[in-house]
Amino acid sequence: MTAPTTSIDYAALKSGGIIMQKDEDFYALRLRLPGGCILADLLPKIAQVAKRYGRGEIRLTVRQGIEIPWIKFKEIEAARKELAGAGLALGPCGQRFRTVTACPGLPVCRRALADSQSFALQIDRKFGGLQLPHKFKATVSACPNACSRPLENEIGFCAAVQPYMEEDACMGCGLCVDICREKALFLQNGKPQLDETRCISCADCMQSCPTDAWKTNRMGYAVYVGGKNGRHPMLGEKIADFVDEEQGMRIIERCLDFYLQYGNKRERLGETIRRVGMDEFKAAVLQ
Amino acid sequence: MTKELDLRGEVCPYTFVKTKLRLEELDSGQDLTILLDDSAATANVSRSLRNEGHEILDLKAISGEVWRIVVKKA
Repeated sequence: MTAPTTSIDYAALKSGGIIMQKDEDFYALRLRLPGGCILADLLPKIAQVAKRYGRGEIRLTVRQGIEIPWIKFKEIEAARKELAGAGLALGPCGQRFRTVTACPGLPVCRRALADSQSFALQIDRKFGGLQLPHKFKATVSACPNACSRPLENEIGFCAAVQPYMEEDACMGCGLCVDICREKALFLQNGKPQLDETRCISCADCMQSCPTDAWKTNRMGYAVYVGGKNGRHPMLGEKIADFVDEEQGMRIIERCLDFYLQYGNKRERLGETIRRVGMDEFKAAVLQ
Repeated sequence: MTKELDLRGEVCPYTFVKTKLRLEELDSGQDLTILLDDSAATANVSRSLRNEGHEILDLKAISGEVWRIVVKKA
């Protein structure tokens, strides 16, 4: 084991994940766990670091992360190296693109329409940790139930499926009409009809159909931007529908370009959009 | 003779657990009639039955909230 060192790696310090506690002698280390997923094999390492350098305490963050508090200033580097050796990187804090959260998604969740975890990982790999005017949070939800709160993030993806009815396959049981919580379906001549103005693309009808008469018309992610929580919460606004992962990545990229160009220091994306204008934002992002 | 399983008043996932246990007592090709009093449970049970390869022969609301599924064991 390496002895505790005072030679702090300032580059590592700047990359975030080292959070000063109320008592300046102690720091909490934040782990980077996109989608809140961690392999069981790595848990003993986190426990070991918490016991060896901290006080055996491990905290769960509201963004699916793990933090190890009570690390002495002089032992930050040793603790960080020990975590890094096991493949556990520190997670961004401060004015950066934060670790991406996600719901369980496919293939775990019964309601899921997409693999939200793998998309979150892809976003995190490309953008996680980027320096920006202020904190920037992103999340991926695998269906319109929006469990990971896409409207409360700077950018939130929410998977959706727009269905269409193949009448020949429908036996007219009416289960989908009963299931639909949006009252978007009604029976006409014994067959369900879709009111697109009410449909929120949750695919409950598709999942309930005993004969697979509901088919996929369009599927992809709805994109919400500008949401945040904290002392002045704002709900994100939808700027696109049914985008695939590739289009989603491009939207994030342009969104960050816009934010870097127009965002004032310590101004959240939603506030920048409100100040500069949603039309300007959309023109820049949805080219 | 058709076997019947009354699941009115039961909630997920016990609805499917009980369906599964009952199906185990049946031979392949036999029918089972299932009664449920919730459309979401009806959708869940029928979906799970299909996922396990059984055939839904009929599914309909027989009165008010009550749904009936007729399934043929695979």
